[in-house]
Amino acid sequence: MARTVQATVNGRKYYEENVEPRLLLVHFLRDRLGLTGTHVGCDSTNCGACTVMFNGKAVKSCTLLAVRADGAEITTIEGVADEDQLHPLQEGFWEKHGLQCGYCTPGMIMSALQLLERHPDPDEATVRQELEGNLCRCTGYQNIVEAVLWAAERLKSAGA
Amino acid sequence: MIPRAFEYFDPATLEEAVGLLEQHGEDAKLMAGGQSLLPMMKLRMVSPAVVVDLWRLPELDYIRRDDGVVRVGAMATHYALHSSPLIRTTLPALADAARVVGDPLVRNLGTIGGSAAHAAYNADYPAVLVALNAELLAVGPDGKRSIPAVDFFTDTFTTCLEPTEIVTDILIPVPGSGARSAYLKLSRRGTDFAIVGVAAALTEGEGGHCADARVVLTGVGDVPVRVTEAEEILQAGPLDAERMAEAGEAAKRNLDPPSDVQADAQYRVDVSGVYVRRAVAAAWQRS
Repeated sequence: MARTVQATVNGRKYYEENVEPRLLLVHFLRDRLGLTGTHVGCDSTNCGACTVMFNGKAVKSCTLLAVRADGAEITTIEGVADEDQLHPLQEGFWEKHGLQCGYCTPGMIMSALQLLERHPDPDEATVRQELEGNLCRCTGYQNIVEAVLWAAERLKSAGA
Repeated sequence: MIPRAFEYFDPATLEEAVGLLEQHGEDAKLMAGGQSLLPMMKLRMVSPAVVVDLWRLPELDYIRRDDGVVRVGAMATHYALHSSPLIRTTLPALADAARVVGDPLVRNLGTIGGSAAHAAYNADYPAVLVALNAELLAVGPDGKRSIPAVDFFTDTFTTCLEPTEIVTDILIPVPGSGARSAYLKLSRRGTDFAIVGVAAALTEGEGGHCADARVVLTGVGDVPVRVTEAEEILQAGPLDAERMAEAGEAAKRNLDPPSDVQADAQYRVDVSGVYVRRAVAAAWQRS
């Protein structure tokens, strides 16, 4: 029995009818709303490429039913920049070469957003620990960690 | 991967949820955080005809203290538990376990009630719930009942719950003065289940003695395994490093762990000794 899902995604309200209960949030975002920045990686709750902010929490959108998004506030990678102004995390990944193929990057950035909310002044160990749910098969993580630390510094000095 | 189609209900009351279970019996599966059930449904290891989703029951999502008992709603997330000052200070082993379930993203959705009812043999909570003398409350067509954790887990992926029952609350007695606890997990990567996990709940007595010890392992049997011989050693004299090592060796005796893709049985036995020693030391250092 299909449902209706009303959700706010990246500040915009969506009203989607005929949402099948088995539809996963990641497919809802990609196929129904056209927000293809959120990637399907492992599709088995391991890699975190599909990470989005769901009611303020970073979650794996491949492991959440879209019908649960009814009434939810969601931010995807498309909603992270402020118009043309990249978020410091996005700049950090650019500056520190935090990506090679880029497939894991949207998920990394969404997880890192949560990380910096919960730990505004993280040390390297904290960054590594809090990114445990995101896999990258290119970089060996070193530059990703540096990108997040770079962003943390930038955000701290902007807030000061 | 897409789950097989199912009929979906997200009831607004517990009574309604129990009614749905009565109506659909074995065809229905309860969903809490969905972090174990959905991956299994996507792999089509399970394909329930009916999913009863508990997400609209906020009364099951709470953490509070009532007199001598810490009460946790079944829908409290792992993140809520490990970031709760009440849990960190009164039940540190529970906070330790909640901190290492899955990964940060899984911990934002996964729940303690869901994990307990899923009852994987290598999950983190079962050992802790047994070590801390927890009771689980379940509601069904005949009302509520209370189940000691030690009786709750009956086999891997199996609990004593009837198909029409729902875990609603977890009650853990606030430990007395001198009590301290820790949970320590060995796993290869962040998202993995435990190869071995050890929950140690100790109570300091007089003269540097441990007056009471409960040491429970996960990952080494179908249900949480209490190592009573090790507990007796811990209580037999002043608790120093040597005694902790002796208890670790004792814990290895009579273990009959499974072999799986992560580790073979002998490896699990060997690291059980090390992790019992370390978990006891970690608990003992807390005050």
